[in-house]
Amino acid sequence: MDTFEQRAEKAAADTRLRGVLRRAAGVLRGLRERAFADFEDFEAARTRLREARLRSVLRLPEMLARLEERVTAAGGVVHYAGDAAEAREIVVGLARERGVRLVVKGKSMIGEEIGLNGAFAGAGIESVETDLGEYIIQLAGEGPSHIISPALHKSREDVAALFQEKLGRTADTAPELTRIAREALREKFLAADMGVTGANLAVADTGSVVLLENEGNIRFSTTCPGVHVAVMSIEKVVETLDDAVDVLALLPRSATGQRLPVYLSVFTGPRREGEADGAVEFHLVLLDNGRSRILADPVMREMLLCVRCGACLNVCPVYKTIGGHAYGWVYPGPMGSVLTPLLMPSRETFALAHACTGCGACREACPAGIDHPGMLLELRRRGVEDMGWCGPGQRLLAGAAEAALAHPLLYRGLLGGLRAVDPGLTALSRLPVLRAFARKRRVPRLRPPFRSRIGATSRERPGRGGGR
Amino acid sequence: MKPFGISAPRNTRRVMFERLEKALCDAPSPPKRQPVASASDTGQPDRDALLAAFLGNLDAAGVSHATAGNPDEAAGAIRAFVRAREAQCVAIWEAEVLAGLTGCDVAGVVRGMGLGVVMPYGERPCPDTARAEVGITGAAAALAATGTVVLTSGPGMPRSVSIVPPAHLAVVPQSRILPDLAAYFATLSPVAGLPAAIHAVSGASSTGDIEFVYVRGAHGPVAVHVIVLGWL
Repeated sequence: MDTFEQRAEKAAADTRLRGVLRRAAGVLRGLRERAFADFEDFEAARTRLREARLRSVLRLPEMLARLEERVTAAGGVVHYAGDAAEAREIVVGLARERGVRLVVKGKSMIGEEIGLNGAFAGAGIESVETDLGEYIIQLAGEGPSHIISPALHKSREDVAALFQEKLGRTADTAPELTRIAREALREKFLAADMGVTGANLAVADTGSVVLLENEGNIRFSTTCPGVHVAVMSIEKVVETLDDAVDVLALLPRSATGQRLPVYLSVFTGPRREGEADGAVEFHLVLLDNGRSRILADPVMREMLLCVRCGACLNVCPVYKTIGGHAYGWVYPGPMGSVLTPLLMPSRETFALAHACTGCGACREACPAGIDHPGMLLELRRRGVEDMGWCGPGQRLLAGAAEAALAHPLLYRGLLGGLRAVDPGLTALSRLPVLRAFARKRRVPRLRPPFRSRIGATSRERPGRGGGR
Repeated sequence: MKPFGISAPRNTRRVMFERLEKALCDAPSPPKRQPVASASDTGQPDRDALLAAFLGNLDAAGVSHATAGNPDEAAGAIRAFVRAREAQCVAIWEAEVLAGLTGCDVAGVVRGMGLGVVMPYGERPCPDTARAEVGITGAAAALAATGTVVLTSGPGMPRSVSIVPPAHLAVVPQSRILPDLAAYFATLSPVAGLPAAIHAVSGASSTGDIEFVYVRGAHGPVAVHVIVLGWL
């Protein structure tokens, strides 16, 4: 299997992908600017959202118990899944018990996280992604490259070729391609036995699940089939409708630049007595899959405030260079670089902590005020301590650098020596510990010390050096 | 092959709750909710201002609209929209429910047009609704700030009517226009319980999933039209 470094390098060298990402970044920046142009006080709204999330996350057992009680009272069924395998068993089990042949799916990051489509396929059940972006990547046999816009890496031409190959029909423009998908998926909606969706948030007080979308595929998936299964990670709950309002004040704006999406749906249990449509059964699957471990970690707990808007991806220089797939799993960008190693700790996933320039754009854009760069620094430290992210050579070099930086005389002496014997740093960058690092960077030439140069400059140009 | 049924261990819930309790043993106390200046503190916004804001934001959301000053005008507006869509068949909420919600005999107007009328029914309701070219509903509320029509589910108020047909017509008494989503949520009572489904609709079904090109009419209605009943 290739490493993050190899994938990132390959993606960064892909000029077609770079072009697509550059265009997308421009559009997304425009959307964001427009969304917040009329917004009075981002800081105050962010504080409200953060506090609404904290109120729930710091009382998670109580919130989940209340959510379960209210969902049950409304006639729904709550299931608990400790890990991805349990969640797959529950959802596929529900389908099997009911003889479900066709499942229509709304876009769900949890569905991606647990690999639900693969599990359905393994059980001989057809599951169709119905969000256009997800439909495209399902046809292509790929994973999402963005948590809001999963087919962001696909150009119109890519989609046209894909539809020709898989559906036997194609077109040139986005509206025509969309119409082809609409017709293909309309048949599926009308024939489906079960709808599976994610959840943008749940409200403990009312036992409700809130879903946001523009296309209407979630509305079809919850209206037409007899069974609605919502899969949600445990931290997505908020306590009250008021807290939900605080989250909704920033979530669609941060995600797509909309004040509200076209469809904001609140589901509280299944269809009631006397209603003609809507799922007759409502199931809510609550997934832990590592969240309780994050909750126990005072430094990383903050990551559970994330509302999955994707704003941090859109502003991240690393994401904009390598795209989503290079991150290797379902969550890309700054939120993914924090979340992936926390959910699946391994030497390989801890590599993501290095996919950060420390620019802080993600923290600034985050509607929950999550400090991604700070957490990534901590993850780098843990990568060294726990995951062997530092060999003996690197340790030696880091120790030497630390000593030199702490002692000015030693520093000057070392640099003076290097200037004398290796001013282009060519020999130094051939050292095994530095070779990989130097290969992808322009190694600087050592110049005379700054102190001596600034002295010379101020002597040459009197009057420029002094302050006014 | 696994037997049918849920094979997850029954103690998953207990184990999860224990882990969560333990995870939070050293956690700081959560922040209290800060009071927020709401519309009711600054006095109710007046009816005309709400209507103007609502119509302006409907325009922004790409939703066409008409305002009727009396039942005759409303009937004319309903007929005009259904004709403009060249509908042969409409899906519509139940007559009494619509009359109750809108204070206007919407179903009577449609019946008078001599069109086919479908009501979703039975095990697979959506294919029925799919025969209609226009879906006609009332609304529980409308939101001025976002040009939103809020629909709730209930007997006689099928959800498919507002999502399956290619056009959606919502009839909204002016008195149901609220400032924003917060104001609508404030009308809901956790104690009394929420309707099974609430759909806040802001514009036509759309997507931007191919190169961020805005495409109107993804899966649901290509057109949404709102008729405001100004005398109610």
